[in-house]
Amino acid sequence: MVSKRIGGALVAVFLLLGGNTSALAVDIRFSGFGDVVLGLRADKPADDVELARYEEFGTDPFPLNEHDGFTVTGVDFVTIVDLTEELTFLTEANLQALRGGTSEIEIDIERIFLNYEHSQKLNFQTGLYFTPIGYHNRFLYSRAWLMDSIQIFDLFEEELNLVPTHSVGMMIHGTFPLKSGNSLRYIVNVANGRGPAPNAAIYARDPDGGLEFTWLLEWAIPQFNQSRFGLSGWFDQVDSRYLPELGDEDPLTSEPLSMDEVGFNPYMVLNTHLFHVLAEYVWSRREDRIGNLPESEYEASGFTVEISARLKNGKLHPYVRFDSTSFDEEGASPYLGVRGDSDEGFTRVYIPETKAVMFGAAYDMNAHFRLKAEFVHNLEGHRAENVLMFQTAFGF
Amino acid sequence: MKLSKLIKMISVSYLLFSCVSVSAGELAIIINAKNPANGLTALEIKQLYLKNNTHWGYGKKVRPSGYNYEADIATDFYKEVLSMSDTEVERHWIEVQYGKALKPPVQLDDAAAMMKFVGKFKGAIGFVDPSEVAGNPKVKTLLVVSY
Repeated sequence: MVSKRIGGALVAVFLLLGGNTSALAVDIRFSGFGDVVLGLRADKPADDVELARYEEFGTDPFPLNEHDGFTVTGVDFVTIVDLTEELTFLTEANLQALRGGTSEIEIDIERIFLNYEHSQKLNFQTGLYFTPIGYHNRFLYSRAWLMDSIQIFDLFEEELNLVPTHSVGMMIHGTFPLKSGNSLRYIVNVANGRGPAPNAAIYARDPDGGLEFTWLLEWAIPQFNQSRFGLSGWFDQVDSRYLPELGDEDPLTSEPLSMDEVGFNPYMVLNTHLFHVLAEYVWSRREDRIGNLPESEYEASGFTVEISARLKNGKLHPYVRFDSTSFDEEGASPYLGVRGDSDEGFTRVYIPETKAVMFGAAYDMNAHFRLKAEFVHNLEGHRAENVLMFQTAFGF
Repeated sequence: MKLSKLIKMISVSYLLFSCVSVSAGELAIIINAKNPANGLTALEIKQLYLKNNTHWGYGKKVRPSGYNYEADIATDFYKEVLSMSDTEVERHWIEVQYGKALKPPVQLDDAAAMMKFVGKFKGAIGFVDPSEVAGNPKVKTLLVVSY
């Protein structure tokens, strides 16, 4: 994760102080989210070969979502300021402990944007925000509190960035009411293009000035507790360095890599009083623009499906979930496997495919506090074959 | 004689209790008298109150109002009109505030404060006992829900 620690800390302190300033003539609202996870994992990996390859060429000696012991994922503080009736400013600061053997805390600004509400059908938003595609992507950091399950989706994990997760730009969005309370929501976004490494996209800035375009159409059905069906996607041009082999390091003299990226991200959220179904699929393709890659195009895809029941007056949610990510080249495409930055150079790392089935239960103690227990069985990939997790998640 | 008096008392008490139950089983969904909205269904009102639709049909922004304590009428409104529990409503507002930066309902002290609020703002919507609405020219009833 890209960190702007000093600037972020100053902004966070300012906003925290601002949240307690009663003399201001604007309305200030304040909320937050966080969670603590306890993971117990078996020694046996889902796939020995994958683990060996990951240990040699993987991204991190302390990889994400490898739950072993207690983990404080982090806390997000959200401050919303109503500057006028139509103009709202939102900022979200994320405090989290760095992974690995340190006790260092980092502060990231997850979102910082202005929203102008002209009418229900036409709104403008500008700043840094979650890339408005799909369902999970748009609720990235409150997800532990919102989600029934615990395991973070690889598909929407910001340190993998298989899909763009953050954008700096401007979007137009709105909702058209339809008959019988139904509605059609749209979002069109133009933002800075993806960075030279996919995980460098938090404060997204294509060094060549390229732009990213995203779109979303969502049909909401109130008769089924605001169930929704959505289609969304993105276009981008990514520019980086071509590192042909896993483990290759770039002294900033290697060949350039330039690809046209296109992605498609449909989703479905079906809510009834008895059960919820949440399904999301992502497909993306990167096409060689220069002609210096072995293949002319590279594809990646993944999906997640979760079915949960609503018992005990809606408080108890037993669930089962299945996740999958896959690439048409081992270790992901020449772009998705690039890590590093333009100052220190780049490395080609191994991004494993994953397949996992999960089942567990979430229980709402009240509106602010959710307890969860989950068993994860990894069918493929580098992770432990079996993992047991417990989580407390809160939001206010 | 004493037994018949006792039966009479029980009968009268039962009738009185029944009447109280009926009057407690209604709530009026109120809007500003200048708001042209009319004949909306409970589902359409739910969409507006929860800000799934943020504006009235004539273009004014919706301003929902609620109570700043655990009022029985609020629980009844959530159950009968929104088809949600208190917890679900509370989670909804935390979620939409986080996801869309939308403002949750203004919290008011009592029915009189809600009548005043709805009478003041053209986009306001609230709910009170139907008996509260009579004779107030600034507020009109959009729907009476019996349960």
